[in-house]
Amino acid sequence: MSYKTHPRYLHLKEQLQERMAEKMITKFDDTLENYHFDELTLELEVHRIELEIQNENLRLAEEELEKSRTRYAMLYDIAPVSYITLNIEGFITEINTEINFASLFLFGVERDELMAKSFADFVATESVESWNNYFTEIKENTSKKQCNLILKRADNVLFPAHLHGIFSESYKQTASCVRLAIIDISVD
Amino acid sequence: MNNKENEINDFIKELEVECVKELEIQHKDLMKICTELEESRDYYAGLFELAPMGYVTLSTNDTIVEINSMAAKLLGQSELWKLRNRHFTKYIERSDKMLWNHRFISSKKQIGKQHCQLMLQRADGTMFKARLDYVWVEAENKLPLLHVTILNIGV
Repeated sequence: MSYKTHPRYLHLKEQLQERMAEKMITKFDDTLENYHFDELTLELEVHRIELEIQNENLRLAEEELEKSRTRYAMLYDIAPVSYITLNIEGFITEINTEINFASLFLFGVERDELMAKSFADFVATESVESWNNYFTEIKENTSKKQCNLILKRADNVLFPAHLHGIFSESYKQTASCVRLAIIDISVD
Repeated sequence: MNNKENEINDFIKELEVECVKELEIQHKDLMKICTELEESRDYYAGLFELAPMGYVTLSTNDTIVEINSMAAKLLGQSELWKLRNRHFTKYIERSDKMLWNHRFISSKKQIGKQHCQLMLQRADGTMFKARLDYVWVEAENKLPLLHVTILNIGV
């Protein structure tokens, strides 16, 4: 039988021999093949080997997924521009912060404080109408993808910003949303 | 079957049942972990792939390592794999190549993010004015990668 040459089987055999010796059930020689196993024992053994192989593959998959998740999370967090996700009502659902604290710098507040706030709260009064129009345009997927606005930090300091937005349809677990890249153009 | 064989069979069965139970619990846990990780990975992958700005990472010799779909779209190439391992400088308009090379080299000595404006050239030869924001970050393998975002700031 092919499973008898499988490394898992050989490993199992070794383990069994050890356990047998430990318990001294019987004087156990190393030629397990010579014994007659009943069907159920064989079935259990095959099932066990299968499970071990599957679990090993899952562990490898887990490692790979972890690596790729870390990589993508890093790409998001350290993007050299502010990158904000808004739900279709215009509330902030995601924001990157890591390396340059661009978003904190932009808005002068902590990341957690920004979550679930309306983006419109950070738009200067004179730009509110432009923002509302732009936001509607993004959601309607019209060709206009960029605009300049005056944004307002939490400490009320105003600064000119360049925005690039796109609408993302819902996919898998993610609801449809608006993704915004923001740069401070006051230092250009 | 003799008594000795029966004894061995019973013992193996007992041992197997125990192991199989344990392995089944592990299997269930691992499946759950993998599903959760996959969801979370897809979420972050979506943030990168579907970003509103072009986003590439460049190795120290200026070749493209990672690229998202907006960057490929901006560079006029729909197939991402065709852009990987290409020199990024290839997509910079001729008169701006010097500027980029200079920026690229000098950026290595600076900490924090920088930005510049230059003309990028699409695969079909058309050009657009772009703003590049960039920062060097050490990757997991300890090699530095330049993270570059690309915004089309033309009309």
